[in-house]
Amino acid sequence: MNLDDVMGAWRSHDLSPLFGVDQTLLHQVLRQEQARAEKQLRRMRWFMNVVTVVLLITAALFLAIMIDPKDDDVLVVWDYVVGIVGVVAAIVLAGALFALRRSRRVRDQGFDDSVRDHLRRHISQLDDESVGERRLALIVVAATLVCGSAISIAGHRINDVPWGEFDWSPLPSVLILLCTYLVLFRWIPRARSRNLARQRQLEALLKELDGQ
Amino acid sequence: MTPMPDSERDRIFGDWLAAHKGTLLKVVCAYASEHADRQDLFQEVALQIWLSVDAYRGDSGVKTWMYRVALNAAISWTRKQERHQRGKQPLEIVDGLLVASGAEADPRVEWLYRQIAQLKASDRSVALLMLDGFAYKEIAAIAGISDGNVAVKINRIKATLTAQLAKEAAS
Repeated sequence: MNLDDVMGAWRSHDLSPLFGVDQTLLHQVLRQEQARAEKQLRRMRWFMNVVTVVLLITAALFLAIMIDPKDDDVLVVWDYVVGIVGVVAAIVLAGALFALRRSRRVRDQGFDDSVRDHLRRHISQLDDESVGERRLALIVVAATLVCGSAISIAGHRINDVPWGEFDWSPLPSVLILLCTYLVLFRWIPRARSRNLARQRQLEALLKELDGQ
Repeated sequence: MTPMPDSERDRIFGDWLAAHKGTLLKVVCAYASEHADRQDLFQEVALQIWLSVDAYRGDSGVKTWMYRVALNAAISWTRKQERHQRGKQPLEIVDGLLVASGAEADPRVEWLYRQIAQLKASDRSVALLMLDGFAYKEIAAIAGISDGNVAVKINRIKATLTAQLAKEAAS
């Protein structure tokens, strides 16, 4: 038996008769996988949309405080400061969220279908999951801060409480602390450890493919 | 771009599968040796090909396209297994999807599958394409590496196979 003999046998062999494929079951599995992927995508879109809507409502709330005082209200300079800062912060955060989604779409267009680019895309996706989740986490923390402050300030101003007599509710602070804890000590480390081993493995494969 | 209706995708996928099932099975058998693993990998490869139907533009032949998608799926397939090994996720193998007839392949072919399994994961893809008669340029395009790198890898793979044949003949 020599190499040409073995290669000849390879080219003439067909595995099809050795394995049967259950077409009905296969279609069922493909539909299930498709439904699962769509559900995940829907969940992510829903989350992003909720955060964006909350941020825009917050911006509107700040604007309302600033531009629609009651008849007997006298706006002080702090009303304008808070209003402008709040609107800008909420719009910047919503913009950051939009940019994050857009950068993911653009990234996926930069690879072709070769095995090498498939590995690079996969590595980039894992890296993006870690970095992206970190960015998303920061947006969520910042959004909680903005929204918490907005609710508190709006509540006080609607009840005509002067700035000097604000009684800060502990609720927004507790929310912010809880959110920060979850993000920094649960969410980010979990995503990082989940992806790191896989990322290293794929990088090793890429080096192998490049012949290093 | 309007997504392709599922019925149309199913029809194209069915035609591709009927015509090139053997190619997919070669990739599956080269990357997985246990039957349960082969079922799992076949499911993954089939899913990726089904999803790729929309993206096929006809720039290359269907066989080349399927090879490309199948190799990409196979090379990054370990994910589900690793999660299973870490106890994070049950191994959801759909039993009965791929049924072995029990017949045995040519012993020379069985020998080649065993040798391919010994290669590095990235070299396996080059070995499969080389054995199926793809030209260096095509292999380079599918793998995304230079022609020179393909030549080096193929020489190394052939040398390994020849040395193994000689060793077995001597023993």
